[in-house]
Amino acid sequence: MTLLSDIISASAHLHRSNHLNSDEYDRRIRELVEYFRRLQTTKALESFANDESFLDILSRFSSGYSPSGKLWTRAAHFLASFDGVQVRYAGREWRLLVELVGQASLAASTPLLGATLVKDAMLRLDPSCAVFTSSHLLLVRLCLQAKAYSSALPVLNKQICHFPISLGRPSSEPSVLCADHGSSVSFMTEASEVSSKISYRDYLQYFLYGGMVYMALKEWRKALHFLGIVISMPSTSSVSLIMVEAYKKWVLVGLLEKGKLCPPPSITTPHVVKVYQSLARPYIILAHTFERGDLKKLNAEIDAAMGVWSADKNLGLVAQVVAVFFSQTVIKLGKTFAALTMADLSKQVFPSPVCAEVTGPAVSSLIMSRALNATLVQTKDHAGSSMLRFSSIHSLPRLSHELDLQSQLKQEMKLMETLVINLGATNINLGLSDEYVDSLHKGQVWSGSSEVNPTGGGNWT
Amino acid sequence: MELPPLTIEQLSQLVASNAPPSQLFEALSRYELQACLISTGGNGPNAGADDSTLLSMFYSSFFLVHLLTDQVSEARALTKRIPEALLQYDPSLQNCLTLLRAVWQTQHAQVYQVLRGLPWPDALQPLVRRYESFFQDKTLIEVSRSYEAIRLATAAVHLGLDEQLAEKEDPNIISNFTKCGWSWDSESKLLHPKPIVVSPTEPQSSNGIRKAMAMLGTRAC
Amino acid sequence: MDTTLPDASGPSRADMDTAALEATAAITTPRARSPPKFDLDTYIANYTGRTRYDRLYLIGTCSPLLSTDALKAAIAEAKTSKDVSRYERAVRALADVAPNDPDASLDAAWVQETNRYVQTQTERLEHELRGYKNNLIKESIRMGHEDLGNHHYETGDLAAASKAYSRMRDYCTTPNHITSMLFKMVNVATERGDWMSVQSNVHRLRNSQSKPEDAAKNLSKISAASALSQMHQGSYLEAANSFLSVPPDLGDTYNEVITPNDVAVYGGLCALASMNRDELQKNVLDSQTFRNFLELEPHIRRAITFFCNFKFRQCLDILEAYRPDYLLDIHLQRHIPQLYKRIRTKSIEQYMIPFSRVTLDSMAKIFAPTVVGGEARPTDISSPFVQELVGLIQDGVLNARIDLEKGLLVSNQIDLRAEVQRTTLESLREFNEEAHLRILHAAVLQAGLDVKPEKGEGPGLGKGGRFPRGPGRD
Repeated sequence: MTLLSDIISASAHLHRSNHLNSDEYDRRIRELVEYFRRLQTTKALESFANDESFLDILSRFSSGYSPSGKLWTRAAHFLASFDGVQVRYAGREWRLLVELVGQASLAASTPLLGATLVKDAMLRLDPSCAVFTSSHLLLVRLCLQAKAYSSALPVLNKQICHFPISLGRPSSEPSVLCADHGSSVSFMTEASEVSSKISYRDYLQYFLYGGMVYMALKEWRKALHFLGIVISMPSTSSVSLIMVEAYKKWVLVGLLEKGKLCPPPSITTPHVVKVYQSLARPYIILAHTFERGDLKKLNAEIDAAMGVWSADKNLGLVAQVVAVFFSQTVIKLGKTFAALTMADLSKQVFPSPVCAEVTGPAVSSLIMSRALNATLVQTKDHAGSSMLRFSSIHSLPRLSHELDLQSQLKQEMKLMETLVINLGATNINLGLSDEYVDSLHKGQVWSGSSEVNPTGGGNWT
Repeated sequence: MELPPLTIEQLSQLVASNAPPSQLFEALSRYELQACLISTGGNGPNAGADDSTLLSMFYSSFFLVHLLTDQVSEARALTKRIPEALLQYDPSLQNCLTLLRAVWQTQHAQVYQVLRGLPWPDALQPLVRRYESFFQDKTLIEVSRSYEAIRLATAAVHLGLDEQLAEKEDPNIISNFTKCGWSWDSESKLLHPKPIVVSPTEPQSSNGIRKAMAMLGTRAC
Repeated sequence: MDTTLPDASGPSRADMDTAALEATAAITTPRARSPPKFDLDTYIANYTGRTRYDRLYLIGTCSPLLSTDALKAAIAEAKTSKDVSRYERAVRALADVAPNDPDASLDAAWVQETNRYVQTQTERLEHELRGYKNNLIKESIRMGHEDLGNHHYETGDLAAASKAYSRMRDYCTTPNHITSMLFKMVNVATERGDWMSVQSNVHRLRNSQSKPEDAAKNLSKISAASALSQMHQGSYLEAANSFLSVPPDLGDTYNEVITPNDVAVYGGLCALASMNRDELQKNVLDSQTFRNFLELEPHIRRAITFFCNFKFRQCLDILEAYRPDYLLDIHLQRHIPQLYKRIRTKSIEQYMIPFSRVTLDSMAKIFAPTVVGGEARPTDISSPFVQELVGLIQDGVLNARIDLEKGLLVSNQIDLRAEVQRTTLESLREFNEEAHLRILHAAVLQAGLDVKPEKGEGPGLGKGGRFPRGPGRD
């Protein structure tokens, strides 16, 4: 660890003393890192007098390592204050340190500490967080374990658009890492080793866990998007169990967010959809019962497959589905009725009579939490005669409602701009120029966006 | 990064300060790491009673600040991060759990009862009082938007006012509402709330939609 | 031309009737008390051919009031023919309702004699046909098939008849031969209830190249047959248009299938069930040709006129009054519930159009007078009429909402501004999500990270089994 800090401080020194242009700086820092890497191995050899490698040393002191220890403080200090540009040259060492911190915090059962450090370090290295790395997965794992869900949000809310790739263009020079890049994909390469080797399982798990973080925060729409990513990922012939797991949650979260069974995203391959349908039968049956709107049958369906829910660890979600059923039913009632009394509502919603004392507060808290756009009109005497008006005569909240919408719009547009930038980077990586796309356009008849082209998924813009 | 160490004094000072909730939240979030270290590291013989008082106070105030910033889901997640042993036996953390349940289920009467009736340590009192008035204000806004006519007693329950007095149409209670612009119909014995509009946070340009549609038009081909 | 359906695929007439009976039983039974308006003898005198028996038998088995008379007439009808199974069926039916009636026991001698006659006649005709075939004279062979077909038709062996008629095809030499053959096929198919076959033969008839004056003469029959098959297939709007296009010279030329009165009733009801007010006015009431038919059934014209003039109660009352009659009609019976339901639904829908809000009371007075009379609170949520409205709204028929506070039905006004805002946000979100998904797809494929089976692992078994304890499960 001290070595790494040495490297960094030396190179910082270099940076201060010379006002070099990017190319020169790049050359020098590469030499320096090379030198230190050599040094590091020999030093390690000297101090231990046998052939333990750097990694072994790391793992050795990680076992005796505690977050209150001195080393931890130094690591934490480094991760919170390193120079993002310089670390691009020492991606491997940075990653090892991040992993170490994660492991150590887990070992000391304080994942919260690890989560905070890893998150800050990631944002420091790549503020856009658009390139998936092994640290992403580490972070969500830590956050889930620490139950510090919102700690993961600064990273989760950034959209991942790339994976570390080898920029194997033989003609081009190795890119200048320190230069000001439009997209982090140009320095977060495979060669930088800023991420360990990634398999499909890593990113599937990341998006599944990310979805679970959003579920814990009840951000159903975002959860649905993350789960949608998992279930629609291109697959050649097999389906990962992670995807099946995600599909089960997708069905439940779809009920919570939209009140219906959501079809998988259109780019999901059909054979995968078939696998889901056969492996997630109880979930699909549950969703159909939900859609049909019969509370009794819904409860029966849930009881019947209790074993399935608990084996899949989805009991919590299923319980929330029941809770949402009532509010969805009342919201749907607003499409049929403009106004009705609480007593009428009970009659319409419940097959067996339920007293107004139960529905009244339930409906009133639905309205107060803004889940239901309606107003209540009480009368002098009886609770059951309270009137529920779906068409509000209040015109005042409209202004704030519109402002609310406006800011949401603005947010989405920002998102779109980031996506467009990333799309440009993707196009460059894939070697797709506008001319190339144009020629494709002329060369083939486009059969609509829903078609999946398993070998050339980049052929769309 | 250079944070003064987490101590009871430091904490009481923070809690008693009149800083806006978001700042309080910020400050306490940074202390959570220290709290975390104390709870795992401090199991030596000299630690113990002091540490648990400190932790109890820290987590209780952090919990209340979550509520004060209207992050109920996160408050719930926080209760899962508190060391189990502490949570089980500490009275003020137990109060927090009861409060969480009431807030989660929007049991207004219950919320006021927990805030007012249960014993809270003196150091926490400022936060408890702040949350009580925060909750009252929030509920007042919600009620004003949710009801077009409401019985005085129902409104009193929502706002934690004396229900018995409300039944007797106590003028003081009525004036609580009329001063917000609500009208009292003594004939029908109903309050007619006037919706309270929270002032918008940031002004927006009105051509947002047009821009958005234009963007969609150019990209979605 | 091979239109002969295998016996199994064409449901027999009797099967379809039982199905229809089951479907309408609920309506028939309570309505039995109100007597039909028509006179049986006059009614049946309008028809010729085998349909007379079918109609009588249907009335006999469905209307308790007319059953004895109708079945006796059916037996008489059967006895003048050579169809033994029909006779037997009618006698059995009569024995159920009037066991003591002299007609309710089988005339065994007649049965035996007729059976023998049928047998020898079949053999004779088949023998003759074989002879013609040996002589290779086309016209004789055609006539031989025709005779055999006619014989099978008269004796009730419809499958054989249809087969024999279809064999005429190769020996037809003039367009007239072809049209006459096709009409025979249509009649058999109509009686069998094989509407697909009717439809395809009607199509052939339209394309046959007969002389212009013959074509004009046949057109009315063709349209009527086509309309009938469309109605039976449930395409009421198409059926209405076909009935409306039947030329008035149909007259009595097609009494073995349909009378001008039937055209007026079937056409009127199908139009009511499928057209809006403007279309009804323009295509039905103002139609020069259909007017002739409507004059035969003035109540249908009155019903349509009422409908067009927003007098839905009067319209529905007329239809209600004739429901018993129509339930005894061989073609209408199984469509009445559906047609009436559509007319009622459409009345409610049309009634609502000019209003932005209507009181439930005034609607109930028009559409549910019995409910108004019978219940304490006709506009209560549990009243059948309100529940009917709820159903219509949920099915998307009515674009309105019920206001039980003021007792109103309020048509939905779209807040355009809010709607635009909502949809913009929604489409922006969807676009972003979709774009992100696709960018990720491209990236995954580029990095070669798509999900594929791994060595040493069963297909599809990732290490997804173990997850850290996560949210949403406590």
